[in-house]
Amino acid sequence: MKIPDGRNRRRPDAMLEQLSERLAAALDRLRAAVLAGVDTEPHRQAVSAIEADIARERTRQQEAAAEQAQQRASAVADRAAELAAVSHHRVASCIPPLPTRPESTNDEH
Amino acid sequence: MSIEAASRFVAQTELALEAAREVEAHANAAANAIAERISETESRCRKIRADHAAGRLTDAQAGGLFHLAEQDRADLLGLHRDALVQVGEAVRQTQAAQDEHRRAIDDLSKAEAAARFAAMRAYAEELDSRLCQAVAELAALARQAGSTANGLTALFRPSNALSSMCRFGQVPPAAQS
Repeated sequence: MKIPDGRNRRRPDAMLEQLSERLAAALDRLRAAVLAGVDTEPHRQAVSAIEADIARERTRQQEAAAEQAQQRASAVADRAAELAAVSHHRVASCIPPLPTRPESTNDEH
Repeated sequence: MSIEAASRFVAQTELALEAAREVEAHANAAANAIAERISETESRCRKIRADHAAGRLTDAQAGGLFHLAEQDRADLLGLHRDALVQVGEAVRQTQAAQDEHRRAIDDLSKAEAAARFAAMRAYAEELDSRLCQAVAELAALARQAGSTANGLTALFRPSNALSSMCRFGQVPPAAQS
């Protein structure tokens, strides 16, 4: 039984960490622009874009985790059904067949 | 516990055991990789000593390189200690998963035995019912045939083994399988 368990992807938070670092850098640039009194709009847009990326990445990770959980549940259900079927078969095969009734001699009269 | 519930428990513990074994394998691989790097660093130190002894490195060069190599080795030894702690934890987790899996298999085995008992009991009850019916028919046939036998016991006697089991509640050796 080979089931994805979420460890195949290396460090699922790496992307979020990277995005957080980019956001911090973008906020620094925005702060510097505010202090310098220059146009801050491009920096605000950059910050918004990174925030949207972070939200998308979080959603993607949540969906991936949910899908993996569903796959695991499905794999468990399949395996459980397989085990139960084998077990029921063993139970059934331990009971000998009932004897067949002999032909009644009553009917001959 | 029903066979279905016990089977589900076995399937869940199988999955958990497989995951725990993977984690243990990864932890071992990581610790081995660090150990290999430590060994490489020790080789580096030996080469620096050899180069220094052969005059290919000055005292200052050898000292600098040796210091760097020793720093690397110290870092790696720290990492290796952490990795071994993780290996130990992974081994414990695998052991716990194995124990849980064994319990699940034991539960399934018990559930199966209970189901076999219930099936065999139903089988014995059915045989009992059929035997009663057969003896009743035997009596009716005896009457039709003009038999003068007095009472059912003259027509049919259960075997000594069956009588003994019903009377004394013990399975005679001959009936034991």
